[in-house]
Amino acid sequence: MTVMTHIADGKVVEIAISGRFDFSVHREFREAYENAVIDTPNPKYVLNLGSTEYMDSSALGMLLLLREYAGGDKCDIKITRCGPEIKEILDISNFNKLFDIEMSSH
Amino acid sequence: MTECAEALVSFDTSLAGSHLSKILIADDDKVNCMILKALLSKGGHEVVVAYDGAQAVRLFYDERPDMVLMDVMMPVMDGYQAAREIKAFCKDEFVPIIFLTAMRDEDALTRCIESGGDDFLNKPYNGVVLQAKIGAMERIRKLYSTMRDQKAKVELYQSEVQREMELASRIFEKITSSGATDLSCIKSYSTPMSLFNGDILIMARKPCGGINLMLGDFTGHGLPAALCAMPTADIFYAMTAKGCSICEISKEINRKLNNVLPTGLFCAACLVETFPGRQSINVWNGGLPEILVVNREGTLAKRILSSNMPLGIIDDESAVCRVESIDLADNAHVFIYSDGLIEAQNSRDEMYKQSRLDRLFDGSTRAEALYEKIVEDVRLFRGKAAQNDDMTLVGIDGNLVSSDSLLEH
Repeated sequence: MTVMTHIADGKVVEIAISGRFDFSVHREFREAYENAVIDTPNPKYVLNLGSTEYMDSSALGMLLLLREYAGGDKCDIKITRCGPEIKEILDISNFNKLFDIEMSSH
Repeated sequence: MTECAEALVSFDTSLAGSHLSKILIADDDKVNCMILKALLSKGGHEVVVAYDGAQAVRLFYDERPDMVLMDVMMPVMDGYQAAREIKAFCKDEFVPIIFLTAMRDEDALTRCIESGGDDFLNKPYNGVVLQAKIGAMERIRKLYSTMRDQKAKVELYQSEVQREMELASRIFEKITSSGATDLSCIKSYSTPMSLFNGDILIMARKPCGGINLMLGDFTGHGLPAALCAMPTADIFYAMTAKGCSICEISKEINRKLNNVLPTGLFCAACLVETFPGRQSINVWNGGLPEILVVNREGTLAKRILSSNMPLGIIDDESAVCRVESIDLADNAHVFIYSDGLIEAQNSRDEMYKQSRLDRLFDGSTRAEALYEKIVEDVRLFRGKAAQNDDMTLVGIDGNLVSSDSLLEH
């Protein structure tokens, strides 16, 4: 299992991706947010990349799809626990302008 | 005998399904053949009988049965040889051969399988067991032929797609290589991982001298990437011909891609602009790895990090276009590359990485030889590993930039 979903209070969808975040988890990732059972029209999304080893450009594309699904400019998505390499990949594409990005504390 | 009689009564025709297989019996014992034939015909099979191995092979060619029940010891040609010849004739078609033999030693049974037999049954056989084996073989044969049909369909489809891709690829090449191709200041190396390159490298001369260059890396590979490359190249050439700056061009390409690309697809790119009589260049980086500026001794002078959003993600008219000017006096060189280069993998699934690339700029190789050095180092690193992404490297020789930027006469 590389994509794990946890829903807190029916309002926060937390998705954790471990290992390689690339096209191979495309479906699992989409299903994680599309199938999440929530009881609010505007849920908050938290992507935990703490155990993500690598991200490719198709993963960046998947983040954009989630952003669109979550309401585009009005979305509430936080990307958390990014290691330095993941942070760098997000920085190169200037994704900090689109997402709230938090680095890992250790 | 009673077992056979029982079997005659209880033969389960449903096992064989809609199409009952045609069975060839090869046995020199005529009584045995008769009993077997009666048993199988009763079950609905069409049966042909041969009384020696050579006749079995001949009958097999003429009658093309679906399955063979083969005795081992027969005159003229034994069952082993007959099985070998039948299997050789069948090639990739699966025609099960079940040996019916009185021999019980392991060697003989091993030889049955080695000569191409798929199963064997000891004589005197039990009719029910024989029918069960025929039923099982029937299922395998059907599975096999379904698989073969599907494989043929997939192969046909694949060759059609390949042909279409080749045609499209020729159009793509024509569009992306229609600009300036005679520039001595630019060296480039590109290895697509599929027929279409997800990376595009296009360059063209501006009307008042100077060159515009663009390296783009589309998400994914193949046809979708190539489709996006076409409007990109069109805009690039048309605007360069009007003398537009890379800032204006990047905005226009972004607007267009944002309209046509579905969410999730985008283009990480770098645009470079040179000017006649100047040794400095302007660089716009949106989503490509850091661009490296190297001085003549081959040490790193500057890194230009991506400071713009890749193209086709958001349409923001107010977004600031961040262009850096780089002085290339004194024989400095610039290296631009897609992420396929630093993410090239070797057979242990390790990545080449920026850090390994950085190590080449330790001053041991002079700037003008670094381009070849990088290509060679990545090649050595990858070894025999399969390519995992499109890879492009562009080297710009600062010494030649101003002369290339002059107007053509």
